[in-house]
Amino acid sequence: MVNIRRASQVFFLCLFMVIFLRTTLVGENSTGPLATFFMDIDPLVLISTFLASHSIMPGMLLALIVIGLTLLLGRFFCSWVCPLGTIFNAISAFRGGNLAEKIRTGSWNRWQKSKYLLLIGLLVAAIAGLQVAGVFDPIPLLYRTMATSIYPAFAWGADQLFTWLYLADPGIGPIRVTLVSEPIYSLLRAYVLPIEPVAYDGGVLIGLFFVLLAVLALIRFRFWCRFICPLGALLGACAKTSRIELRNNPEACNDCNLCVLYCHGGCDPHLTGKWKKQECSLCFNCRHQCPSGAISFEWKGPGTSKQIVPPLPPRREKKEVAKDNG
Amino acid sequence: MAEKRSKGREKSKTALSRRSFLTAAGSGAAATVLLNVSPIAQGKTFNPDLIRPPGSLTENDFLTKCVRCGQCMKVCPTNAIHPTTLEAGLAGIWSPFLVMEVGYCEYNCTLCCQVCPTGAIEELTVEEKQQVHIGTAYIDRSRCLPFVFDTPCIVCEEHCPTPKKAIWFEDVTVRDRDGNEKLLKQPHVDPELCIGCGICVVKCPINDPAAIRVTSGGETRNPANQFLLSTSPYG
Repeated sequence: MVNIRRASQVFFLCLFMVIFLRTTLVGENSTGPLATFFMDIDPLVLISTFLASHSIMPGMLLALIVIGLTLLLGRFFCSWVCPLGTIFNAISAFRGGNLAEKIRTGSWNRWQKSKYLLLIGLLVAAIAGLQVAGVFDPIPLLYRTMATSIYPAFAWGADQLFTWLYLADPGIGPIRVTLVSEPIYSLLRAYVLPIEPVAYDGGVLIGLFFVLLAVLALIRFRFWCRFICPLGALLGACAKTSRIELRNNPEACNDCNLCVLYCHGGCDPHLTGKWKKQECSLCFNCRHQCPSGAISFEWKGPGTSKQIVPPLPPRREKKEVAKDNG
Repeated sequence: MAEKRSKGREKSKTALSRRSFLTAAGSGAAATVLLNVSPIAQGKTFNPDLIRPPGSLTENDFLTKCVRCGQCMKVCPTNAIHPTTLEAGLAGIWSPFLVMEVGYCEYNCTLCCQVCPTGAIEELTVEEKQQVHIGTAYIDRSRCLPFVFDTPCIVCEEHCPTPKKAIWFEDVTVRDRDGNEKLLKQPHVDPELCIGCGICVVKCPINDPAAIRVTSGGETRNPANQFLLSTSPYG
């Protein structure tokens, strides 16, 4: 399950990047396919635009599918689709702190409520006619940062590096660096780099905002997703009606807290009966990490419940790491 | 019973308090009011540098739709569209505007209209777009070569893309410093025809700044933003 999730994350991140690179002049006066796909599936773009301007583009209705799936399955978008979530996920893998520290900060924190407050503020502002949700919405945020900061910086850096390599051309005898660097540069030129160098007024500020968020991801696991993201808050609110529920079997649980260590959303999978549905992004790390097979996911139908993701078989031999750390 | 009580406590722990809910809602409303306290937001003045992409809605409508995604900036083939910092006020931060010192609006291109996800920039056909004025060019006669340097130059007129050129010449005979007569073509802008694309700004041989510049005055989307007031603002 975890590997399927990771594949999904990588797929959507790559899709985002490919669409991004293809959103450029193709032919006479047209651009690559699916240019607006990620904006169209973003429910916060749909809702805030509708509240502020009372009209939408037909393509934006795609976001209703995401809302519908979230009402049914929960906040899967954050750990399965969101490209910004995937990026912070990867950055957070390098965060510091010892095991006890990571477990302490990995469980639910009352400041996670702040993202819902930001969402409320943004939506009230949108109703009043001020549309600034896009400043904090992760999909526009990532696209804007890529377009005006990361991509121009990458293009400039690549140009500088490969030009320098070409001019210096270090090597031993007939084995030259340019034998490798020039084909790579040709590939980049053909598929990645812009035709003309690009630079943007104010791109540095947008880049610094992103750097700040990246630093926060090094302090807390997916800081942005847990504490700030208004789209996560919107999906969390929708997830309240979700049919999928985590079940932590108290008889099997050995309180090792490994599930908290790897939890994406900070939803407290380790506390029996205190799992926070609106924070869970269905990353399934808890079930994957649990050495005693205590965690499963159930489908709660009207009056029935069915185990849809059974616990993994117990692996008692696995290290019982964090038992003393509480 | 005990379990029920503990569940209730748990719920109150994660639930937003009425106070925080109202504070957040109030902050959103207060931000709307505060950010609209500016002459530009209220339409009393216009920023001459705030040149929006072609097809952009009227400023107020534009800002209710723009989600600051930057797709127009990415797709623009001449690198003309940039994110604002404070040019459109704090409420308009990171919305798109054209910086004509860097790029110009290509006459036969509608890419920004095509990729706008929310319709802040309306999707126009090339023919429709070519009728849209995003601003108007004016000539700085204190910098323009034929005006002050007695040097022949027709670059802006040559690049002007409109079918009937918005830039036209007046043939004048001038005397230079040594008293020699010179025949020069001095450019003029016809504001009826100029669409404000800015290619003249990019191509102008005078830099720092160019001898021809574009302001947002005369833009199609804001009929109130004209550089010639038809009536006095005091009635």
